[in-house]
Amino acid sequence: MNKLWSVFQHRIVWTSGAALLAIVAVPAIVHGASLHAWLFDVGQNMGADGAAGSLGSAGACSAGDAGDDGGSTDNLLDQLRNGIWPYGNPSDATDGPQLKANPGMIGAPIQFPSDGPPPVIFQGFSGDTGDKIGQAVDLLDALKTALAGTENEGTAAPPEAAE
Amino acid sequence: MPNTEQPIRRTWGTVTVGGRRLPIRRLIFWAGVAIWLGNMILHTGWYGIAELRASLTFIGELVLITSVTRTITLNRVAVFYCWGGTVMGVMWVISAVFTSFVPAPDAVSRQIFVPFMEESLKIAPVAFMLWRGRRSRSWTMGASDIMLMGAASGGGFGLVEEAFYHFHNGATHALDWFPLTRINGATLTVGHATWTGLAGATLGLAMLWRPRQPLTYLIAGSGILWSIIDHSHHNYGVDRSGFSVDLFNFVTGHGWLSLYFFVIALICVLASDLNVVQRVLPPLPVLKTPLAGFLSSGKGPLSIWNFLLTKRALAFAAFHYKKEPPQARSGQLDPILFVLLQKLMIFHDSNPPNVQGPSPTPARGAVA
Repeated sequence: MNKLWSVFQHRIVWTSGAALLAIVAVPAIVHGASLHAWLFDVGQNMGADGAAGSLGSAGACSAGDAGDDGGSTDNLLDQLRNGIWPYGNPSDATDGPQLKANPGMIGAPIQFPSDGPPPVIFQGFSGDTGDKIGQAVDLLDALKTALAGTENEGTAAPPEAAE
Repeated sequence: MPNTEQPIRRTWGTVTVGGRRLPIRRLIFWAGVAIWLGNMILHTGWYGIAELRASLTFIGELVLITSVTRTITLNRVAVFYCWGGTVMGVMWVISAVFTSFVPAPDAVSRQIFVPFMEESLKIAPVAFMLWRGRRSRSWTMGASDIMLMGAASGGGFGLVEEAFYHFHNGATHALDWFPLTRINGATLTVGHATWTGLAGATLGLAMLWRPRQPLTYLIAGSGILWSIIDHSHHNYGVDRSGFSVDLFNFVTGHGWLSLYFFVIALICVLASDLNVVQRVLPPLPVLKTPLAGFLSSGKGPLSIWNFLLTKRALAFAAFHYKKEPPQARSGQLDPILFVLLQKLMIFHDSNPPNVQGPSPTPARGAVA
């Protein structure tokens, strides 16, 4: 409450408030009498024939993002929401802190919960995949370090050698 | 790493038409849109077409303005436009039930209840999406995303209603850059899309900045609260006069205040998001747009755009990472940052790694 009150100690707040009130007051003074207003009430502006069209829009939005073939960022994050790692299915998908310790969990193919238990991971992936996972983990570390730097110092650290 | 050529999402299957495979999902989407818009145009004729043009123009303007900050695609905007049309039907049913209890069309209870319900239903799809993605996508969104989704939902909601309104009452004048507004003397009606856009803008700003309580709730709810007030002002003022109407007119500035608030909110949203997009991410090599690589491929401009959207999503997630406590960082934001970084790596890497599962080579054994 004190903080809220302290806002009103500034002259700019009062000036802005007065200006806003003046703007509002102009039409009210010019047109003291009430004017006809537009009604916004779907129940009165249209009948069942108009509302029936919403069945079509319901079908459309239930179909979802028509342009997403599965590779979009939205889709990847949507899988994350379901506890499915887009790059593999770890035994404990929500365990973020183990990300660095367990980078290999990102290498397995997509596994949906209904498909049964997750496959044994870390077995026989190509070296290229392993390298890429390692690079991504390094990038994540570099990003987090830089963000921690900006948090403390207010400027972005330039971790140019992250990759 | 995902194989971007192979959908990793469960699909509804495909049908072959003229030797070409079309996703059933996409067909249902467009069939639904055709039924929705076709029904409207069938009943309202040219008024429906004019309203559709005005509605799409306004959403198009917002899409264009937010192109420098948003992370959502046009497809997502289209889905929310359809969501608006869907909740309009829900509102019509609610309204019919309300009428069975309160038959008088000018009852004060109706003029308060209807605006409250309509404004709540319009923002409901956005709120649902944010709640659904509370552990993933919501962390990667800017305020402009939420504002745009709100405006799209409001635009879809108002489309058929306003087409019918104009069909029965004739065309109305609108402001140059706001084709969905209606001017009547000193009174301005901003319309459903602007009201919900304002509600989305304040919700987005609150979710982006996350100030301390109760300020965060105050900011988040201020937009929808104002929209309900202005909406009620319009419905209440029909065929009424006297002190209460004059007071409503004064408080809402005859409806003009909504427009000012919307423009101010839009400026705040863009400034906030631009600040995050431009200043949060460190100069990592993987974050530099690989223009040369993209332009050499057939999907050049689209790839650049997708890269930018993903990079912005990373910027918003990183912004939250800086502000959130350690528990939220490791439990929720670490995986999000990782996924986005890998996605950006794929953009950079012209030779993505094998994702087809274990190779036939002998197992390397467990990695601790």
